[in-house]
Amino acid sequence: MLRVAGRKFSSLPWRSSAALYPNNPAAASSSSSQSPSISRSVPSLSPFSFNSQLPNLIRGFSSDALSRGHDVGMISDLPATVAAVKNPTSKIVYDEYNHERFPPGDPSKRAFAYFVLTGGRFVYASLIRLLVLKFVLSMSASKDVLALASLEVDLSSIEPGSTVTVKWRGKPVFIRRRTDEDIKTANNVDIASLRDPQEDAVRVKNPEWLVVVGVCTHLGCIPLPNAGDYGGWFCPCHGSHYDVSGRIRKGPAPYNLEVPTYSFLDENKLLIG
Amino acid sequence: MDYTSRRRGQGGLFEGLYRVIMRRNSVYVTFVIAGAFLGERAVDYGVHRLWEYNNVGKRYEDIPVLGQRQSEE
Repeated sequence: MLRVAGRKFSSLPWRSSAALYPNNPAAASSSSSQSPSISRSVPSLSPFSFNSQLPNLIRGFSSDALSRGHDVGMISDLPATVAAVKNPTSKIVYDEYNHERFPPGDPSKRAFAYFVLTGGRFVYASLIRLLVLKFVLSMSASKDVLALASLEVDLSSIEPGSTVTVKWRGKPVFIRRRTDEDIKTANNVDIASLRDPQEDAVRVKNPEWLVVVGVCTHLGCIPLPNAGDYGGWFCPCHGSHYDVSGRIRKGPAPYNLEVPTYSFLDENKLLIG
Repeated sequence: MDYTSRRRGQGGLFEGLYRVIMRRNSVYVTFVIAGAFLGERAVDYGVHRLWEYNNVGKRYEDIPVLGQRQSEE
């Protein structure tokens, strides 16, 4: 490109003066490789022609006629396009003002061009994959359907005495693996003294596993595990204490923590909901 | 690169790769799909790294251990 620019600046005055000599067919129909040799033979350069070409230079337009209209003579007043169609010639001239041509017989840059296109095709392939996935997966279950779904929990990694919180239908569910001490503590409570009297055995299927929904029955905060005076949960919002069985002991909450529907699939799998 | 591939019409990196990959359309399609997969991974990784670099210290993981009165076991 820079070569062309350099040649443009240097050859323009000569080209325009070459156009003033219509009887010089070689100059009028010259390819760019010939123009330097011809231009050196032209004796004078006219500054006016350079200035007249300057606007074209800036705009990037070709300053030279592409066809051999000067040879043929514009006497018949045909448009240049019609004249070109009516007078086919093998001496085709390409406009090299903006882009260079390879010299004839040059091995082309076909491989490079094809690899540029391949790069584009990488992007298209990625786009097609994305579109296919979007349209096919749009037909799968939406979030509201999944929200009413059941949740499987793997229990094998829970240590005795520890609590795990899982998200089920948008709510936290506490799963506590109770030690024997916890179970004994839970059972040794006087049921009559509870605000919401419930036996521990009623609240659990397997006494080792306590599954309760972690939403405080007072105003819906999430109680903190291993807190409070009764070894269970403590709600920080208004100070409700829950015991190891999730029953309310102290504080403003009216009911025990809710026990959701659950079942044990395997020894180590829990299905909530 | 222009001049080398112009002079050595039979040589050149692009030329060699052209002869290997673009001889059969099946090979070419496989190449495009593989390239798309790898390219997407590379772009994802690059953009992820750029995002992280631009948002240093703002991720959840960057918070030092959340202090709790009694930690969950």
